[in-house]
Amino acid sequence: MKKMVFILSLVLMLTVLMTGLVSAQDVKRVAVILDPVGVNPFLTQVVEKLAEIKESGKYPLEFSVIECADNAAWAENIRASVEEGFDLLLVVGWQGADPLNEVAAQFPDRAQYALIDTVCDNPNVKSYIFKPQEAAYLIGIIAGEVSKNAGKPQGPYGGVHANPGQGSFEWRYGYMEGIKSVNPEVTNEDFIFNYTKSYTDAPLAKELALQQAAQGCVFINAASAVADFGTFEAALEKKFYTSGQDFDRTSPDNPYVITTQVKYTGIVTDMIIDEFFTTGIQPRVVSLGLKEGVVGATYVTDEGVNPRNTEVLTDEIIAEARAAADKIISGEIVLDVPLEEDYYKNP
Amino acid sequence: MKTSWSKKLGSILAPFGQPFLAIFLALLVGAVAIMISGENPFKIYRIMFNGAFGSEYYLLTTLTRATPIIVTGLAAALCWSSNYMGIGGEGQMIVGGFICAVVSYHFPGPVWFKLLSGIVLAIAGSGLYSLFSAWLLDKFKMSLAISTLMLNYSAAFITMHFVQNVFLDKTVDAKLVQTHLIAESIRLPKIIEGQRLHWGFIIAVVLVILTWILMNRTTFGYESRMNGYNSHFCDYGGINSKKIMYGMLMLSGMVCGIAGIIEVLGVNFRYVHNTYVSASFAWIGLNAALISGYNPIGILITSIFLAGISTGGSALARSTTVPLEISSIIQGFITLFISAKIVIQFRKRQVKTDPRPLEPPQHSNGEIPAEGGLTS
Repeated sequence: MKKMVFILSLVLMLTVLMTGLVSAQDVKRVAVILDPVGVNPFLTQVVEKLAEIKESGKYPLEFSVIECADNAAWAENIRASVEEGFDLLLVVGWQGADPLNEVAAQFPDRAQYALIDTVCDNPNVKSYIFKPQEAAYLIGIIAGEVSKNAGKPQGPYGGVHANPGQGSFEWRYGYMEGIKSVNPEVTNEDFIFNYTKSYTDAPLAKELALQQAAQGCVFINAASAVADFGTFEAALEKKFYTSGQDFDRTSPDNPYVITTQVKYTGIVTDMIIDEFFTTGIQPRVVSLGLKEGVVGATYVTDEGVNPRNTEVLTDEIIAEARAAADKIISGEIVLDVPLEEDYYKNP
Repeated sequence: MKTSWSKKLGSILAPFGQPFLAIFLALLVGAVAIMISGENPFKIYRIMFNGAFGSEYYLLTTLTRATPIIVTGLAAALCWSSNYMGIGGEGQMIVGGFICAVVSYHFPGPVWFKLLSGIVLAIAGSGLYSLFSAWLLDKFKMSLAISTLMLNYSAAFITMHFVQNVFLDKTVDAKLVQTHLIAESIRLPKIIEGQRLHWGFIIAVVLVILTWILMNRTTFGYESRMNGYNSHFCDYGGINSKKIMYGMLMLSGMVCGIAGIIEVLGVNFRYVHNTYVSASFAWIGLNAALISGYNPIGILITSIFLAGISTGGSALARSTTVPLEISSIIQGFITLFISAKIVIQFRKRQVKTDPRPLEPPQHSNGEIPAEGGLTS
């Protein structure tokens, strides 16, 4: 009997020990390196998706959210994450491109590397970029129609964006082309764009939006992340229409936010984690747009969280935008972003 | 004998007392913040220390971050010790980095010529940029603090315009406001292969020695120090304070330009908009200069310590749930406590020179002199 108990205990101990060892070996560590997350939906979606995957137990993973306090911290954190034995480095943001390139070249086998929102020219990195111009085109159609119904088909059309320059031109390009598709008479001169040069400066966004409203804009496209709340507040005060960014920003309290140019970074995170656990990260550049369901417009490509403001965003407008979305998906409408300087030379 | 030794030791250690007290108090405040966020401060400080100095890799990373802080700290010490309180290090660093990156890539000719031109023009450009503030002070009595602060913004946005519209790297997706990568052959080599620390750190150490020699072993350094103590006395004694103002501010700008050059050649290999502003190198450098009482050796040590707070803060972000801002809180409180020291010294000096300490010194015609304090 004693012998039996001893053997059983030994088997039990070994089983516990082995289970512990196996699970410790199987759990993969993911480092998510990004700007301070705050309430920026572009980043919160990534973190929430990872938490969801971990919670569901779909894959055995542990993840650390590594926020970079400044631009120099990106290089330090990326390099340190390799040093500290993370299995996957998921870098979210353009600031990570150069340091990731350096680290992936130096340590190709110590970790796997994925980058969201820009391209890293390195054979060991998988880069995911978006086609926000496709979603912005749909917002442009809505803006053009709403402005036309308000008696101002010629505009002016407003936009409060985060940064000027080529980096954010894809948003403006899609928006402008969408409006021009509704009314071909509209020229580049009919657009007013102002910039917050910050993702969080809501008071400045509000001031800029108020100025654009004073210049006669019926629709102002908000594209400055968290600072968009300033534009929304101005819309409520001055009764112009606007659209949100990244995550459905419509609200029953503000009927002037009639749609949102969505970007589902959570879906991209899911794709990356799936690939990491199934085949391993396959380095290349992936461009994600309407076809992949990663970008879109609320009520056009999805149903939206809140009821639609049907008085303004009519069924006809939605139908027109959906038809355009189908054409983009089928390749009938192609939106290749030109250089901004070239675009403005040929209005 | 024993008393004289203890006195000597006391006089040597005296200048370190206040900085250590400021750092200790700041760490104490940081500990309160950590406790509020539900963590053990000793554990958190241990993680920060290990993340900053705990292994060869972490130490070298800290030294890499410390390099531009040391150099901008030296630049701040040069002008502040002569009583010219310029706060334009950031703008001058931006000008230096931008010129170096653009010239080193776009200039025609062999690689060594591109590099040499890049360095010389960057140093000259940042020196002239600082000289402009000196000229504004001299000709228009414009507050040096305000002009240098405003010129920081000018430098950031003027260079942003040129990068975006003229020198933008369009080889990848043109989304990033940055210039082209410079050739590999002109980049600063790494001190240890596979690590981030580059020869810019050695340049910084050499600059520490040169600055110490300039400040303590040359006539110009002596005159500028005297000017720092009392510019009226210097003028009375035949020292040309205007020459010192122009010389020191230009030199300070040139040194900041070197910080920009080092970041381009050793870390980023291009000029990336907002990098120096976001990392606050020049402001932390100024902090290091103030903590160390403008002593170049002290700046070297303090800069490494302050860089360690930043890299240690990043280590926290990687391994705990303590907010990333904890390192900013500590750095902020160090600045606060060091500022307290400066205010106390300022008041002491006023008490010594004027029986009515709270009234500013005035000329016989009632005008407040332009020199001295933050108004210079």
